[in-house]
Amino acid sequence: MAEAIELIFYYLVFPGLAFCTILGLVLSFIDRKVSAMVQWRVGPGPGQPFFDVVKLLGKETVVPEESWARGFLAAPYVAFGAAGLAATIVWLAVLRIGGSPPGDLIVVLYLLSIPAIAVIVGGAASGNPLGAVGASREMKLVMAYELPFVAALLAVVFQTEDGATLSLSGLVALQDQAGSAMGRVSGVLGFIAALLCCQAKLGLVPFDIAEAECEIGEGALIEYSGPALGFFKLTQAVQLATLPALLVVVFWGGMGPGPAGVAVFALKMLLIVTIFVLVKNTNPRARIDQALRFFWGPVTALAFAALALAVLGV
Amino acid sequence: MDAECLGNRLTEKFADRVEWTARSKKRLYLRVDPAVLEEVFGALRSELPQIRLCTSTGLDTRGGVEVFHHLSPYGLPLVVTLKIEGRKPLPSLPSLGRIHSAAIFIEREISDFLGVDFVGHPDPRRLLKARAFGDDVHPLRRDFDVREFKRGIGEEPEF
Amino acid sequence: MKQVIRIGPFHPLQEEPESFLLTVEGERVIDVDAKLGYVHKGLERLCQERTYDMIPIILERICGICSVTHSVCFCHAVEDIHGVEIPPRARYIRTILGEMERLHSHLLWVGLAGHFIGYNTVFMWAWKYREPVCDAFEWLTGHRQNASLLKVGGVRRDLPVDSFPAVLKVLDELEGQTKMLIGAVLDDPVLAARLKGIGVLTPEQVLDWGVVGPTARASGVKTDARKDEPYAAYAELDWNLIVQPEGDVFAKAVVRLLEILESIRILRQAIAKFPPGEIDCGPLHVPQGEGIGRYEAPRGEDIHYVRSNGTNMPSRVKVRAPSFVNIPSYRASCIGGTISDVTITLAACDPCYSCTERLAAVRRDDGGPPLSFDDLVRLGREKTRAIAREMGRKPDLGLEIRP
Repeated sequence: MAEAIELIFYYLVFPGLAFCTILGLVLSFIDRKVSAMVQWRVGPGPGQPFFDVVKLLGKETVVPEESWARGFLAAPYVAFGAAGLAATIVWLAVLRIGGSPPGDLIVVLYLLSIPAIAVIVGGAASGNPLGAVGASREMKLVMAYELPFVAALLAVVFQTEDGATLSLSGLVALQDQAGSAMGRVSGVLGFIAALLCCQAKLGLVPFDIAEAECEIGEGALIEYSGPALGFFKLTQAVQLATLPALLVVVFWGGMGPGPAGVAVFALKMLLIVTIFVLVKNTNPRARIDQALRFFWGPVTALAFAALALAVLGV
Repeated sequence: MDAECLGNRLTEKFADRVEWTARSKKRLYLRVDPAVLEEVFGALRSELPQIRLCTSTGLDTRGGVEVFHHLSPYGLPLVVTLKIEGRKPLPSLPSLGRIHSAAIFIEREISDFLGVDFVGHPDPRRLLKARAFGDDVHPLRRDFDVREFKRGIGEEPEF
Repeated sequence: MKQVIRIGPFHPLQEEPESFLLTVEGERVIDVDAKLGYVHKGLERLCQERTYDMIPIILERICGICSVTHSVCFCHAVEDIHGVEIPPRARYIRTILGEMERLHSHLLWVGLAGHFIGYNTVFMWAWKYREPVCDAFEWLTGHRQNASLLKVGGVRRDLPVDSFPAVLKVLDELEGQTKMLIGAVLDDPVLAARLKGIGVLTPEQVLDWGVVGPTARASGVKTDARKDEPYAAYAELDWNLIVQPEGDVFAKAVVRLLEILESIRILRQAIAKFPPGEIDCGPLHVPQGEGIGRYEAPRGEDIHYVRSNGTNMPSRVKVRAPSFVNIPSYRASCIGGTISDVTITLAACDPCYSCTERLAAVRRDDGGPPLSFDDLVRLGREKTRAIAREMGRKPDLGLEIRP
């Protein structure tokens, strides 16, 4: 019983939904502030992302007549729940709470793709032609970045000579002994490939093609309003708190002991988020065919190069 | 090529079906028989290959509606105006939009505001006139009464 | 599967009322239709009931960006009827105003184009660079827009010559910033991938649709009313016509960016050569007749037809803004592209819907009677004062605000 309560606490409060939502909103404030600095604007105050969400949660959800209402309304909550579960598993590994079960890396990979699928379902269910275009773009994008993302993560798994582990805490433990995966060429290449995939997973420019507000008016999210839209925004925040943490855990040695370890981990997270923001602000949006070509070409090549080098032990 | 020279060339070709005045070297005004509008445009194209329609002006006159096609070649200080006139109450004129795409929008506008029927127009739909105006109300006609119109208005705009 | 996608009736980005109906198959656009007329102002009819002195000020309100364009063009048309030559100082003033307008209009477009393809940094930077240009416009005329400076036969007020050094300083800064922007645009591989080869207009299509201005010049067609039929002081100044052969959106961006540099060149020369003398040629009686005025607006050739019946009011004023011929060319440039390409292609001719439709009234939200001129002036002053209070300083307008 106590174990069950502990698990529910992990999922709902710390380090799961509540913690990651707040952390994600803080990170999205950093995103907005850094963007503003790049663009010579003042930018919002630190409370703004919270106000936005509170405002959305207090509004009415309008369900379009033409939509498949159940799918349309379920999508954001499914996305949020799945993102929260992925966040819990990743952050438990970060905080070194308990030994994670074998193969949880694969579970995380699956859970991380559920929000994208929810966006596709929601967009297609909305009955809006622009939503359908957004959903089809999101679908193409998912197919484009998933393969290199998995390949890049596997590069780290295959770095270990004596038997690979697919457990996140196992990866952290291995890096504690042998130094972080970024110490090797294969680790660096894999990290770069995974970083680019995360840019697309987070829906940031140049890969915000599925939401392109100037072309298809937020695409799949076009018909969403009120709490439903708010939960999609919260999902994005949770992902913003999860993906950089996942990258640090897999490629960069997780969190060290003591306050110093926490500080170093926070710096690593901030660095990754800043890279996302800078890439976002120095690029125009790619076209969907260009994004496909980019991920299936150079990024996949990079990821598989990392994988090959990892197997060779470089 | 200046206005006078061009006017003479066209008179040679079309005799009394065109009649020209030139207010300066840069401005040529040609009164054209609507029946030969396309031929005159073709002749202008062969004299000045870069000529295109700048715009057209519609003007309500006593007995009819006049349409002035202002043509100008790229890169030259010359504006040639072809004046054609259709008789009221239902003025009907040949369409230049059939052979020159630049005329499509402006002819739609003129038929909105002055009620000219452009024969052979590729896309004769309403362009600018608000939905509140009926199809047979033409606000640039002299007999259009604003006060009368305001009394009848009250429809919601249609998107 | 065919679907109709609607952009509008209020464009999400241009914040202008128009509607584009894209018929798409998947992402490919197979047909485009435009719906216009949401803001028709009836200005042509209004002009038939106003005197020649009032019309330049009305026409300034056609467009928020090209405030100088339509007034000058109308003046050209009336001066064509009259055959009058305006004094040199007035010609130089018109040149300076026109080029200042081109500067801020092109910068505005660069920003919007960046926004259209999701490049918000370019958007913010270009609009930041535009700000000092509007300030300089204010130093010269007293207003950032709509200076009411033009009249038939000259200009109404002289330019304050002592503000020229400050304007030149703004131009110096802008030149460096524009060169940086040009470098950033020309060298960015993602921008090139996004803009090259899309929305192509061939020279034949340009001729068929009568396209004008930078949109035509980017297709290798040498057309510019400033060179074709030199007015104001352009014949006396040394400047180049910017022409690019490719015809795609990238070429249109390049033409506009390089034209910013040319405008800076023209402005420097015009300020250096600024002649003394009269600024208008006195009261004019407009004889019976008809005239056509041409003017190179930032978006292309503007043309006005004026018919006079010998009274103090014209019997017909026809306004043709450049966007009226540039917008229809979407039929040639958009069909066959993808949705992503079409939004930027539609934006690439720098469309201006107010110009296209020519009309406005300030209506109150509560359905009361339209606000009068005095109301608007009062509201404007109240707002200025409120902003000044908020920023904790006195309004720095150079003018005293009467209570």
